[in-house]
Amino acid sequence: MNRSDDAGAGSARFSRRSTLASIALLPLVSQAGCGSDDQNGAATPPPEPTLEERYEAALDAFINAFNRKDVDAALAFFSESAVLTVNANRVLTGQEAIRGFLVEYGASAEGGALSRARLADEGSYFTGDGIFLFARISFAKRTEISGFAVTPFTYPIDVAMMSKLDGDARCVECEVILNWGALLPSPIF
Amino acid sequence: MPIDDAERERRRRLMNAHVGAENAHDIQAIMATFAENTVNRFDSTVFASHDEIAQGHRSFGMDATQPGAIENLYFTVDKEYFTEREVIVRGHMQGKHVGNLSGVVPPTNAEITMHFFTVYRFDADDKVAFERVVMNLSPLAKPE
Repeated sequence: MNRSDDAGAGSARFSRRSTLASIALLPLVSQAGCGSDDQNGAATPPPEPTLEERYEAALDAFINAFNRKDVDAALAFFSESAVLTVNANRVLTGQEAIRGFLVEYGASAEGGALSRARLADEGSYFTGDGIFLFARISFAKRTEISGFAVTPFTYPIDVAMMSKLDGDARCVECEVILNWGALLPSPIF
Repeated sequence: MPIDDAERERRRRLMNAHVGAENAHDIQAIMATFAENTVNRFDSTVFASHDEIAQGHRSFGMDATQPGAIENLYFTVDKEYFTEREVIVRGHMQGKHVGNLSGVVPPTNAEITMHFFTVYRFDADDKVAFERVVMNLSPLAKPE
């Protein structure tokens, strides 16, 4: 099941929030005695979240951490030895290298090139061993970033990210494409 | 829900037919792969009709009857991933930037490579019902 928003046109056909809320509420339901009981009166444990639900929750946690400028929490999405490839030619290995990238693109309140950056989820797709995300980074203004000089205007950066996750729902091998065309003096987007 | 090998092969065949038509610069064949009410987005641009989709393909250079921005444009599929309903492609486009793209980007006459992810969903009639691309277009102005 995917949580895609077809072409960003507002036709979301699956609510991640409702799923995550369901996962979050499961212990509460159980504690309140609302779960089904077996013949001995013992409460049936809530079902374990599926791999897809765990991956979705991990991705959601990453996006939320990015948007509240908690780079340490955002970094938790990546394993210690994760490899992140940016636009095919920039390979970042390990959490510290990835931290620099996340900070540069606004996942921290300080030290980045984008001010008031926000990562908007535009749909995700479960692939069996990972999760794919369409997103946009919008921001108020910026300094030089990824070799692109400052421009007097800002346009959102379209993002696509494929994350292969491990059993702990942490990214071990990720690849992101960002449309840097939005950063050009004559933007192309 | 896992998909079976037959469905995987169906999507692979349809995706290759679509990309093959693009690489042949056969605009009629390209457009024949799209469903009537297809949803199509390229980076931030939503193409709302077949005419707009065709014009988008022409502007890049995927119509052999008229020049576009990229000469000898060619797509290569590097990786493919399968979801419950979609196929996701990681690939790259190559060609020589010889013309204006939509009147905005002047040509650099450089050989360029632009990397992308595309999600395709095909309907029961084997047509592209949904296509969304995120491509890094910066090499058009700043060849790597």
